[in-house]
Amino acid sequence: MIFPFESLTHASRELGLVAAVLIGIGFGFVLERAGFGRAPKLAAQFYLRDMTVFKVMFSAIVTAMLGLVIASSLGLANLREISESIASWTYVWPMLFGGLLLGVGFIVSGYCPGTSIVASASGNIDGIFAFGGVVVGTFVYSELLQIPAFHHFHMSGEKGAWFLYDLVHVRPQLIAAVIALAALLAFVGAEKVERWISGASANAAPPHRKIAFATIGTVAIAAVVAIALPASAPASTPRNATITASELSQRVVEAPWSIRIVDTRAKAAERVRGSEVLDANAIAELPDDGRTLVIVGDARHMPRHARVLAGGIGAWTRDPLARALATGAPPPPPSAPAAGGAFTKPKKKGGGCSA
Amino acid sequence: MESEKFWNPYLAGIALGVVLLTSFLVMGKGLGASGAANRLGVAVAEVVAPDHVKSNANLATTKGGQASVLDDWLVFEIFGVFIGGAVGAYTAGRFGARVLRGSRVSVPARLALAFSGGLVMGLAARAARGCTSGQALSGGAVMSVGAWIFMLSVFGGGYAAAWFVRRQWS
Repeated sequence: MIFPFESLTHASRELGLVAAVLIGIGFGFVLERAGFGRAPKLAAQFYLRDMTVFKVMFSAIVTAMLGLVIASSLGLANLREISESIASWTYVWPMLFGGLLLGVGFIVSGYCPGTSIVASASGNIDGIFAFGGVVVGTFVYSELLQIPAFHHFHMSGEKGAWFLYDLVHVRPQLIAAVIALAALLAFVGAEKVERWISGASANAAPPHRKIAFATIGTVAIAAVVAIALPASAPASTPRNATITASELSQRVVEAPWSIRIVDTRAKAAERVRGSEVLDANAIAELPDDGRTLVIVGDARHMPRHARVLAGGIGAWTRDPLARALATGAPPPPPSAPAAGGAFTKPKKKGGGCSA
Repeated sequence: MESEKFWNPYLAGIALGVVLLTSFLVMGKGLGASGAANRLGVAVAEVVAPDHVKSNANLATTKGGQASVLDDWLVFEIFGVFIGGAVGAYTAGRFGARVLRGSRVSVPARLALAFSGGLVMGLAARAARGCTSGQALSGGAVMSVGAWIFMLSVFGGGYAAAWFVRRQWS
């Protein structure tokens, strides 16, 4: 496993932030050139006049997905580990309602949060207003979370790190290929819909169609390659779900009632405050009482609703927020550990790289 | 004059996918937007009402352990998006102050709709743990179940509401 470059997120964090700006520039430039800085073009998607949003979005998803699957098939990356670091956990109900609501906001404002930034950058004042609305909306949400019933909704349908290949129990390569093929069919459909809606100009722009189908052909070949390549072992082996120290410390602050922390180590110098000490064999029988079960230490017999604290107690004691909780002192400035040479990687040592 | 020439959508999509894949492989992170908006809001609140931020655990923990709420990958990435968007618009001859709207809606009405739609999206993105960039695009590409639920809901919500605001876009 080569990717991602962990040094960019830990040891040389400043360099990572430079990479963040560069990646952002690429993102913003492509969005602008696709026409995503202009509300009428984005809104046309929802009146079937112009399916650009759909085409760009799914071409991008298929490209990145196949690239990642191929990279993991070649042993360059661990698909599950990298996916868990990228994707948030699944919370079924807030994601379903959040999606519906975001769709409404999209057609009312003419932008999504990302494209409102591109619109602002191109001088569109409506984009600036939309982005201002997003900032206010995210802030108001933090206020709403103070209401216990609302917070309950916010955490409902928690499924942890959950992927489509876990849902149907097949190789990730197969899911990726199915999505790629479905996208191709949808692209053909999108071209038909556009021609049907625009009516009169039905026989216009054949070169456009040629490019479209050349692209589709390329993607189809990539999809076949993705299936043909053998799955490397770490890519398809499901691993125990984990929770990072920073996620856990955040949960301890925001919703202590929603977690139950169990320490399976009989003797320990340090423990997570509020954790119960239980034998490793006993945790298999713990009932699912709706709370997230977090296990510190040996988790061989963990039940389905449990998560292991990633990096163990060591990661917990290094987490700034956890430290602040234990001592009551404000967290230290972040630059100190990054600049000093004594900073240790919170992740386990490279044993997984050679596997 | 404003140019209406855009890249072929499939080629633009592949270019976007390459940027996304680079972000995955190099940083182990996806692209995002609403997370940065959230941090920006907290940063403003820290200046205007610092005591309020301290008293609301949800606002206070946005910081994590960092000294500044703006010291985050997403904030830097969004700064890049702004530069990239400006460069893209300028080099295509699309840069300039204007309000984009349909012919049947006034400028104040358009701006009010843009702001209120944005506000709704801010709420929605927090509930969904991300917006179309962070959740649908990045999460969708790594085949997260929640991301696909969200993505399909976005299209569902958009098509359902489109009829009610059709005058704005005609």
